[in-house]
Amino acid sequence: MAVQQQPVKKNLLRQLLTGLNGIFVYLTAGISSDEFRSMLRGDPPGRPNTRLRPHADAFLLHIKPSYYHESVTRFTHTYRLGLLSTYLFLFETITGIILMIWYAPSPERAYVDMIRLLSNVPLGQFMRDLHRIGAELMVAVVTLHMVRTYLTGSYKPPREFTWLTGVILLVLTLFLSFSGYLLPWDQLAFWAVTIGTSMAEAVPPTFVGEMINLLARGAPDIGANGLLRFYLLHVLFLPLLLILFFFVHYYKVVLYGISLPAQEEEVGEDTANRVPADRRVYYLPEILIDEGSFLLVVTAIITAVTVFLFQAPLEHIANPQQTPFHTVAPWYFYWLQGLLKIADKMWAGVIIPGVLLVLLMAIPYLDRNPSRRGSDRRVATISGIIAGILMIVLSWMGTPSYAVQGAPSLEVVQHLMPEEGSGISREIGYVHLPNGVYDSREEIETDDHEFNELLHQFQHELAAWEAKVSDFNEPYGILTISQDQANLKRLTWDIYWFSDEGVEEFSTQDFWLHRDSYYWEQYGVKKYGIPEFLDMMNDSTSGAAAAN
Amino acid sequence: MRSLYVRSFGNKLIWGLVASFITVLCLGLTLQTENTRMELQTRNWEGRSIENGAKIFADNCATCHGAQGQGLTGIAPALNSHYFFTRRLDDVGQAGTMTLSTYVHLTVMSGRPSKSNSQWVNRMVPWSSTFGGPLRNDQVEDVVKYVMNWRETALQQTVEEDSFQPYLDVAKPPELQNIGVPEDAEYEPVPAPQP
Repeated sequence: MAVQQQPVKKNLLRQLLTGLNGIFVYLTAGISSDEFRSMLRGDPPGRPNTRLRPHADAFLLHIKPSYYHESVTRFTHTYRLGLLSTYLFLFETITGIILMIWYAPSPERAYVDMIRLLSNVPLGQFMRDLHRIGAELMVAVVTLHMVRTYLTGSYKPPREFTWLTGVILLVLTLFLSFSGYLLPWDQLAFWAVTIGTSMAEAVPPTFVGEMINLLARGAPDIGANGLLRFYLLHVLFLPLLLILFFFVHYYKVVLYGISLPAQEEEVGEDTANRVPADRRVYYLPEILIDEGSFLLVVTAIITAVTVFLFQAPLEHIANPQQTPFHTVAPWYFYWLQGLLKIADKMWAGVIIPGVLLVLLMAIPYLDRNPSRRGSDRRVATISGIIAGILMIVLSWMGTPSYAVQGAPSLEVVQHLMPEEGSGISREIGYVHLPNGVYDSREEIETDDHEFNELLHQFQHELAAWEAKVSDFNEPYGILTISQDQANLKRLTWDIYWFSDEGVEEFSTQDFWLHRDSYYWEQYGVKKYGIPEFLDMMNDSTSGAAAAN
Repeated sequence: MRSLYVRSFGNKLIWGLVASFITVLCLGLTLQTENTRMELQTRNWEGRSIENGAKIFADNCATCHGAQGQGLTGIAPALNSHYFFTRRLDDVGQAGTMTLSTYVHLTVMSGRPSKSNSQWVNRMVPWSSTFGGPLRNDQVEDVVKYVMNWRETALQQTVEEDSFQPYLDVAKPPELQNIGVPEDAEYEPVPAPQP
């Protein structure tokens, strides 16, 4: 009897293991547990390669190639920029959907919703910051992806169409990012988009331009209709279009394979389908781990930067009656703003960008050079670098530091206490602004070191503008800080100067600062320096300890 | 660059694990400070709302109500006033039906249309764009918060300090209006009778 019991027991265990293995195979779409262990050990695949089964069975994996050429897996060959762009799109989709829960696209609610998101939703500010930084990063990464492809000449046959869809994806990314700009309904959003859409107005002939502008804004000026239209573009139309072109783009990438380094591949060669067996790197498990770990590292960096350094700005509520002192486009449109400063709206806003776009798309069809080697592509490389430098110069010209300048008396105050954002006055905060009258002609030393610094900068700014502008002579300023209400100070900046003709002129500006106002620049890592924050942290932890 | 991202399978696993750990750590830190941050942000936006209100008040309201809300004789009543914060609701017969904040809000929105029994030269016009006024409703809310922010200083005023002027629209004779103010003069809103 004992002899018979043994095999029964063994059978049961084996049956159990076989059953478990069956579940494992089911979950991994074809990888057995033995195969999985051998993958983890780093064993080479067997012949035939049983690790390829998931590529046939699983939908998401069937899109990916089952193996790559060893040379393209080098990090410095692609920098994983295409993968990163795709990941960021997914990242933006997820954070975007979370933000959509707290947002209604109407001028009455949008801005209030933003404030509610920031002050009443756990992780609300975090999500908004992630979404914002992801968007900026996506524009940068997609652009870098294009630059890499250009410099390695990877757009050459047979990959011309891949490049063309890539340019379309770049344009879609820019529009996607820009359409999201309006949604917070603050001054920054409102005026950047007003300028953006007004460029469309320059499309000739006039009635076409006006029609496009009207279609985008939903009315002669941006209002409820315009916000709804930009919202729908941002959350529905542009993402769908981007997904469509992404799949076209990616299909072509898989079809023709990633281009090898120039030394290993002749133009027109079909490398994807002719990878020698000894140079294949299989997707499972090597590339999967490579891509997965890379994306985890990127996610960690994005998270850390968001938590400690980056805060998405939120300015005052959109006010169509009040143009901000400096209107700035998002950084990726600085070059366009720079162009607008030197050319009229039709040239800078329509013709030049349009021609550039067509040229960019047509590069593979214009560049007939049959070699991808750097030494044979001097003209292409140098013209690419020149274009890059031109872009940087134009971008610099697009910033407010170039050619745009208000009255010096306004610029001085704008520097110390800007309309939007913090400036040194708000940064040092309510407690460092003692009530009193302070004349810039006198050397005033108060007990407050930080306030002294503000007065010092006041004098410095006045002197700097006097040196820069001829119409601004012997300026002096009087800063009056008074207690307007409980916890509310009024800062009056009076500036006096002599014009060219020797006439004394005068300007005055008022700002208020509440004790509790912390401007957004002060969050992030800086919040650990706010005394109130530390006090409250202590209170909440000691409260929790008491509760325990 | 290559040393940054080594080819070895095991090293990549470690990179991935370390990165996940950092992500979780950052998330944990954020979650831990989240209640404090929300509290600070709530105060921050309240404060900034009052700042906005101060500008709107200075631009639109100060000409009649005075830069410090002290009112101008014959033009407009004082708002930065002990009487205003303690007795006004009672005297207009609205105590119990609304808070003072609501009363101010309604007044700024729709103005004071009645001119009967009033000593003021001009009527207060509706300020809300809903009723054809120049201010958007968010601006009205800001200016209401600014006016209500006078509470603290107004409650500290003595009867002599109060720049109050007797109201003709109040049923009480003027000599009875600003006296006998109770020390603890804070009205709790009482729900309005249900129809």
